[in-house]
Amino acid sequence: MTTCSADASHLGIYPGMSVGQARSLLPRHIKTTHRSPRRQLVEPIFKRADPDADVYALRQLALHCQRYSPLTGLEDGAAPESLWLDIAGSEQLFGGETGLVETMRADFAQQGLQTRIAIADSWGAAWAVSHFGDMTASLVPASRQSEALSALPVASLRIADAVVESLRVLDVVTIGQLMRLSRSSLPSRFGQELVQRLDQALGLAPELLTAERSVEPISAQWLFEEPISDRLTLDRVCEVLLERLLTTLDQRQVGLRELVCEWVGAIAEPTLLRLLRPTTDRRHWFEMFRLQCEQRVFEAAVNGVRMQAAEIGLPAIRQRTLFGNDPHENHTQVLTELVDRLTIRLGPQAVLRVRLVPDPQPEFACESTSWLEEEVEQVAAVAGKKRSSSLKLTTTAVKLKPGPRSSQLALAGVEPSPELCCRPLRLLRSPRTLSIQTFSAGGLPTRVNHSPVIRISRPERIETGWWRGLDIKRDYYRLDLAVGTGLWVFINRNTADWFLHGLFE
Amino acid sequence: MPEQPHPKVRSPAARLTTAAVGRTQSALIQGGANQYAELHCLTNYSFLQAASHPDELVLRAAELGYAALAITDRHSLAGVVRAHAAAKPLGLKLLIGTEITPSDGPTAILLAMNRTGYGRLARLLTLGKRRATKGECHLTFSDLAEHSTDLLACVLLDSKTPEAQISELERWRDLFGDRCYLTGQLHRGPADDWMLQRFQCVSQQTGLKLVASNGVLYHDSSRRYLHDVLTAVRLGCTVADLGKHRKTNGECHLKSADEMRSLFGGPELIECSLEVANRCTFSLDELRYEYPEELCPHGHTPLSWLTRLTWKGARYRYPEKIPDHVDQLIRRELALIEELQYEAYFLTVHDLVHFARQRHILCQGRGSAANSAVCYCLGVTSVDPALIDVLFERFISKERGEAPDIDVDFEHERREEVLQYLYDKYGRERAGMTAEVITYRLKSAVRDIGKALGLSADCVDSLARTAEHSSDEPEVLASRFREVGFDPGSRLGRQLTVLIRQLLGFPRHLSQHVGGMVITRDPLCEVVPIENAAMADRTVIEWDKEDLDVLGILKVDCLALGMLTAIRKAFDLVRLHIGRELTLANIPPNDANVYAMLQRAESIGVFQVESRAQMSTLPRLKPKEFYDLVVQVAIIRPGPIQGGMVHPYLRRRADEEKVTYPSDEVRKVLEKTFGVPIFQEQAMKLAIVAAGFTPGEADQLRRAMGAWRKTGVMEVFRQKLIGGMLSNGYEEDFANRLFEQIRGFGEYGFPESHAASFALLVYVSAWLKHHYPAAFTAALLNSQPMGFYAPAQLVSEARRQKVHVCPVDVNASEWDCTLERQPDSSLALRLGLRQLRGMSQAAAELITVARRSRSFDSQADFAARTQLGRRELSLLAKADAFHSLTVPRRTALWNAMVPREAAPLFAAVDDTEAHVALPQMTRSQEVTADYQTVGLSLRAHPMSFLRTELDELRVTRNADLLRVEADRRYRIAGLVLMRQRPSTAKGITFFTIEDETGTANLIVHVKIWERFRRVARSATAIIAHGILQRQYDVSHLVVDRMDDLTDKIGPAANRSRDFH
Repeated sequence: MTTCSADASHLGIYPGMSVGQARSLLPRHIKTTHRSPRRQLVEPIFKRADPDADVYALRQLALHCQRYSPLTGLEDGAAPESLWLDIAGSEQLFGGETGLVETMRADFAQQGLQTRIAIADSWGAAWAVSHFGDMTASLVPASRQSEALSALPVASLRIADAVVESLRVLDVVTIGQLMRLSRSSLPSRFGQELVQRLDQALGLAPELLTAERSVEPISAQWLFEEPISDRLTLDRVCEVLLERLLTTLDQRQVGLRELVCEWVGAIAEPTLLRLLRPTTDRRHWFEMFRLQCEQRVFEAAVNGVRMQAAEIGLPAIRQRTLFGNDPHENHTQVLTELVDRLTIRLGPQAVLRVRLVPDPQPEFACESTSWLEEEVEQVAAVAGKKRSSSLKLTTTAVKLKPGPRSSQLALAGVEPSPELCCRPLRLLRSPRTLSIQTFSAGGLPTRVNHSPVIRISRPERIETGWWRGLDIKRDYYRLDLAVGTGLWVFINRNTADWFLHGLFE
Repeated sequence: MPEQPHPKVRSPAARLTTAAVGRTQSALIQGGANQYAELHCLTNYSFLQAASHPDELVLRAAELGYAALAITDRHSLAGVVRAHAAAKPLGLKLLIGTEITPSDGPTAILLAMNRTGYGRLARLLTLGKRRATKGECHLTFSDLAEHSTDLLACVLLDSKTPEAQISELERWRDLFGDRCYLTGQLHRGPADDWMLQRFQCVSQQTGLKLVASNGVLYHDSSRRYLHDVLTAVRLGCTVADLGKHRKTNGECHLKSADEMRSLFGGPELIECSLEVANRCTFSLDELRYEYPEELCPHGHTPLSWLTRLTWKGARYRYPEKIPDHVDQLIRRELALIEELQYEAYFLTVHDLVHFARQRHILCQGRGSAANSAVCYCLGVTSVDPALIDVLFERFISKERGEAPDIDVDFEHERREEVLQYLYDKYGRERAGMTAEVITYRLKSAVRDIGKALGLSADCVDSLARTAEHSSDEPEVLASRFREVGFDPGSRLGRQLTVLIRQLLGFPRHLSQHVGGMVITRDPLCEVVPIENAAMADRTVIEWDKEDLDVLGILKVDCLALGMLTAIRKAFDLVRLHIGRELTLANIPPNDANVYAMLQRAESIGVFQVESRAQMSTLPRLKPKEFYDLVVQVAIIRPGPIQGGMVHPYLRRRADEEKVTYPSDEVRKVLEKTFGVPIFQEQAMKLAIVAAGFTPGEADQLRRAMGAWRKTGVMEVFRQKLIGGMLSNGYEEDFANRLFEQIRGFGEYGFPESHAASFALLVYVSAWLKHHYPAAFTAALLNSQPMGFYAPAQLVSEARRQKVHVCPVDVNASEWDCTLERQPDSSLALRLGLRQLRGMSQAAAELITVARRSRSFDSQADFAARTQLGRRELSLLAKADAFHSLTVPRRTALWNAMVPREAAPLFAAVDDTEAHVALPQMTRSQEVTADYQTVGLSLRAHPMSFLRTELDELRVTRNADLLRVEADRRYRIAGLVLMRQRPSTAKGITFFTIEDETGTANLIVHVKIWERFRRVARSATAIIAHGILQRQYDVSHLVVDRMDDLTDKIGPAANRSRDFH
């Protein structure tokens, strides 16, 4: 448990508990029809903690705070929870320190956030007062830290719990008491950190602020002096911008995967372009861009064009043969480009590939997935994708798609099973009732679709699927008809009905 | 291995069904029209790999008319005995084998052709298991090569590319010759015909015969669901994610010969299975248990030696004259022992006890062995057969046809010595611990199946929690599930319920039995595979107690008992400080003062009778003599309590209720216990005298009582018992009541002999507590953890007994608690360094060694001479162990914090730092610190600091509870010592709380517990409000409200000991 609601802490739940412990403290029976509505309890909600997301959100806040000071950042430490603002001078813009605090408080309150703000000469003192002070906003007068600090508990020095505990054993609870102890005797007993933190709080030792900076997007733009509607000019401008963008990326040795092209001043939707693999291949990019824009109709003139790299990644690097004539080498590239071309023309949901799924039930034994999505997974797995866009996350964190599919993949392996050799190439989307004219004594069909059966294989039995729905119980047969067709049929062993499920060709 | 002589009639199990053996084992199976032998079949003892019990498989095989069934668990023989026991009455021939996969070869089935082959197989598995960690087996082809004699090998053909195996198979052919077969399995796959052709092709190319088998994983295809679930549990995923590990259909079940024939396209391969079955003639009945022989000296037979030892012991036990009936008993027992040839077993146990005595390890036989005069004479048990009614049939009976069970308790700290003695004496090859099969319980079944079905972790958690104390009746379970918001009627719910019921009782893994050792004359590893236990230096066989019983293999139970450790330590202390030699046998009996102490319920620390329930009955039962203690031990047990026997007994004993007997015979049996059956022996005797059972039948009744819930056996006995009693002229009402009582204590009742053994320890510990309280308390503290009470209560009890207790001090304390002679020549108890939480024995040794020359004169001196690290120094300082050096605790801690080991150059330099002024500790802070470091305080009780505050709240002192008027509302407060929720108490929780004046008992009903859940579960100190109830000088507060005092008391309080 990392945090909990006020209601929960009322029940004796506190951060640091295990979830199981917390659960055992929850009232066991939640009665919906209780006499007094006051005691009616809501179903508890448990959510997974996501420290990365917390830090990310805090970073965004830090950037937001740059309206108060040019230097803002997160506190030092493994699990930062405070924002630091170096306000030297900038408070004047808000009418002094009090004005700044008030403005900030109102600003955050509007966002639904409660704040505890402290302004002091040192980072340490501000941290201590904001965390352990009496008021939600406090100003520590210049060079008066030691007075402000002395009544605060030693934990406000940002020291390890073990140190706080060993000080507590000696009944040293406040910073004032700590300061009365002989300074030279402290490091050997409580470690160097204590003295350092004390000095930092008192402003005797320096401390660094790592300021947040918003990452510059990789973009290129061209603003016209007057609105342009000439298509040729636009195309040319786009080409130049794309060339610039790709050159920038070339210098960084990364490839472009997703491109956003905004049409300044026009109501036109921005153009999005996404490829299978990151690349800076001019020829391919120009072609794709042309294809994408071909059908675009501009209703009004355009004031300018802005292009931005929405996703970049490491381009596939492979060793080339001397003359570049290895057919194998070109094979994948040609395929990739084909997929890109088709995807742009038909949309990502229309360009599919087939994947085997280790499931005994033939309907589920393979599935078609979008080329693009499949590729995303692979690329993400190979190289961490770096997104740089004002719209999307500015983070280097690798976002892997979790879920059953990947674990299934791991379990399944990729080698085709021998069963596949006995499966028809054409599988009906859903089994169809088979029209059977005559049966043999053993109950097997002898005349199907008005054609005599000349050969019938031994049954393949499939019993599966009980965990997801109907318990499937089938016996599959291959029927060779006199007319020359091979049918893949099965009998449903629950109902003894015959179905056609595939055709051998 | 030398050829064994023809089996003597030794194994009782073998004797029972000689007829069946004759029918099955001797006759060769005719290759008849309708016969088939399954050669590859896993039971659920291949944990999580197969989905049927051995007996289910055997039963189904017999129904299908199999010629034989092979039990071939993976790398294991753990399930064969159960299968054997099921197959024998059905006359099904069983082949014993195992499925192995050497690291460098294909999977194969090894079948034992005869006893030699079986020995090889067991040895091979032992080899593979001893070199791997628990639960695994590492074998190579070369291991197989060394152990291949008299084994048949059926190599499994790969169902993908059997051709690839051809070169490998040549190795197998060279090794096994004509004892090597190929096994192809067809499970209605996509191309069975083609596969069969390929199998045959491989068979032709290698010249090895192909034989049909079905790779059976369950007895009926309806178990395929459970099998999917088990596979998912094994792989740690959900059923939906099984992927290629999923079986495509449920064809791995036992199939009829016809079905197999049609699968394999003709009779050849099926007949070949009969050929293989015919070549295996081994039956588990051939295993014979032979006792170790080195136990009787040259020139003696085991019987003559045992007889001699027994009479020698008898003369020692009865120096004046052996009482006549004891003399008769001994003769009768010896005759029976001779007849059943158990003499070597008695000698084995005697040897063990003899060893323990030599090493001064206290030990005492318990359980049914105390019914034997021979055991008493051999010194195995200590209960004089002249004092209690012994019932030898309870111990050994001819009808039962089962090995006697001798359990011996040893000091818990030194039992390992005894076990290692056995391993040393007989070698790892001949001695091993019995296994304990851990089976699926409701909770674990719900957990595993829920996960496999893909329920969320939260849901699984709450289902498992709700199932924990539920019965497995479908309706009960369903309503429990509904309570936590899970619909048992949904599809998933029904699946879950069905699967749970199937999985219950499945073995999950093997663990070690608490103390059962099996010792054999010939290598044990040729009888049963031996594997490493999770514990170091332990080796465990694959069979459990019941398996051993079936095969008539004897085991000795070496159990651990904490009280024996404490008693021995108390004896040692008394010898050292008082010079009195005490043994279990020479404690003066019938000491009235000791009984008076027990009657006052001053029994903290005394064996068995120190629990809350025992303490509250002591003042009512008022034990006056040894036999009262026997009753006391036996009556406060779940069985008698549930059977409703406690109150009638107490009433009748106090002459509040008249005792009537329906007949003189019944009077004879029940007179001792005022007409209330309390012991198992009484139930048996009643069955004999009133319902006309034979002693052997009576014993079967007793066994059925233990298992009545599981099987319908009890109904048979019910009719027989009640019928018998009615025909003997007893009233139906009496008969019914008696039956209910017998059933009530079935599993949880004590035999009288066992209660007597325990009562002896009760008396000895009570005697020690009364006469040598200091020594007794020191011994208890030195034997922790044991018993019901924490050191704090033991020490305060000692102080109540006027023992002076001295705190832990670096200049006086040893590792253990010791006794110190006081100026007034009384003995004081000095707490040992072991009381310090986090102290290591090695550090304590350093202190005592450094102190030997002279005592420490300063903290710096101490640190310099002991060279202890900062952690230990701080620990000692926090515990105020430098008290005698007149260093205040905080200053000592301040000094201790300097890391000495870091600066060797300055080690000699004394502290030259300026003196620091640390805040003085308050008295309550001192007490808090005491509790934190030592777990108790000799200064004051933490509650005493709250007293003024509590007085304002009108809280009554615990000591006053005995005096105030009952049936009124009171408030009491205290540290929570114990929370106890006995299964017999309908969800009531008993609290014991303590303040500075004494302890008090609280009764908390479920409703109150739920309402004050947080306080009730976790508070370390509470104020309880409620009505005071008093009965027979025992007071309870029936709580209706609880307030938390934890924050007021600070972290001082102890962790309570909670028993749920």
